[in-house]
Amino acid sequence: MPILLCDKVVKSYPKVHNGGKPFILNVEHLELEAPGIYLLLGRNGAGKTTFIKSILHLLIPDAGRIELFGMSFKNPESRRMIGYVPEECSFPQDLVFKEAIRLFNGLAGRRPESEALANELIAKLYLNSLLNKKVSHLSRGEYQLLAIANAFWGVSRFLVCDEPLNGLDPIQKERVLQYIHQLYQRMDLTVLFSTHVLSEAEQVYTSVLLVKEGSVGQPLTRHKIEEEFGSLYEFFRRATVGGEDDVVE
Amino acid sequence: MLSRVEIGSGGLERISLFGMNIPFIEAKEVVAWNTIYLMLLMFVCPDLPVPFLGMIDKKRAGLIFARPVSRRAFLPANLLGVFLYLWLFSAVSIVTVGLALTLRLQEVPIEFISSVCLFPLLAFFGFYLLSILFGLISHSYSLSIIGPILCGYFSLLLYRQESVLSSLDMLNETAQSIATAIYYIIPRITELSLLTFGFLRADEVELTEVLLSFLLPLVLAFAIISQKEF
Repeated sequence: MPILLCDKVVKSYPKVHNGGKPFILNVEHLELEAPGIYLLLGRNGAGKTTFIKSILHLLIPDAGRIELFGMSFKNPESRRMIGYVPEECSFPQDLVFKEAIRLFNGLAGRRPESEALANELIAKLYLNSLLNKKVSHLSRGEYQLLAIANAFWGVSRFLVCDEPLNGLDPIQKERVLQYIHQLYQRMDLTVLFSTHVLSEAEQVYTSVLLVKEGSVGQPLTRHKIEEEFGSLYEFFRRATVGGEDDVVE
Repeated sequence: MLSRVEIGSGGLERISLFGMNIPFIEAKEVVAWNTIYLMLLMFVCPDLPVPFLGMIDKKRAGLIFARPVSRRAFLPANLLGVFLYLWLFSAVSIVTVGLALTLRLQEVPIEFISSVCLFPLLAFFGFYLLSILFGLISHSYSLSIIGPILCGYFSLLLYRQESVLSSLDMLNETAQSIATAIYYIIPRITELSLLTFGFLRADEVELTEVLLSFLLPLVLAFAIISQKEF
């Protein structure tokens, strides 16, 4: 049973919502069968966030079939084993860090499988000093760490991250990426990871999903990308540059 | 004349609103307490819809609905939670006043308790439901507060449509049909409020019909939330 299955998924936005250009997300057929760290790569406005929000049922596709762990994405149970780091989020300002995590995970009746895992998350991301800090007093990077910790708390199978490294300093970025990699190796976690920080993502990815003008391609393995393009950046440049508004050197 | 207050030698003699005489009912304490209670709810909890609107804000909804949270269960759970909150909020005052009345009257004031538990809560709950509907449609805090008040105002005008239409010199069949049709569409918040304020007695109103008028906003709210994109 695939972790994620998308079949003939279409989601369109009228021109008025997209700066005068019509936008259509189109996923002909996609299956994520094996655990891995899948990088979702594409230019700004290519449809990465639309794709992520569609599989989480935050957006309602016009057509097509989406399944998570063999269940329709409309079934709330399909999201029980998923953690999600949104591109932008808003936590209640009057809570402290640990209360915010408990509140949103409590909605799903979710907690880490063991206290050791919770402590590990706190230790690996260096959250100890933040746990009793008020959300309203968090810096941009600390706020992003809250979003990440909130998603990682009790996640067991599938982690969906939309630009999770935004606002983090280089040390924090490294810690988050290393922890993601450790979880993938240890728990067979599947990670769908949208980012523009290619140099850092290059350390951990196992496959790439290219999103180009609303179209989501098939997974390309790390091996294939390294063999054909040498680096992730080169692949990205060659695969995405070339539109009308691009200057290629 | 939209409203008229007549004061005679013996004090207040008659009050009319949109041509409707407001009856003096015997259980003045019930009316007084109902009125105070609804006012209290309005003043203490005017921002009760705000947490709900906060939850459906795009930046927060992603944190909620990406979890195994059912959209279908979200609205009823919220309404139930608010209703229980209002009951708990009310329990202390109702029990205290009920106890005082019991001691004074030497009997349990069933009419008082049932009335105060029913009408102000239902009226406020009606406002709350309309508030979240307006919030869902407009995404605006101000409209979610102003909307139900406007709805209450129109509902009052429609409730007294004959007087209103005649005072506007528009008492013809077409205008009346349109007004009646709208009367059945807009939730009848007026009747609930008039019951609370004692302007109407429970036996003068089809309470079931009034409550059913809230079914449309409820269904609309369900439909909107199940198709909402965050």
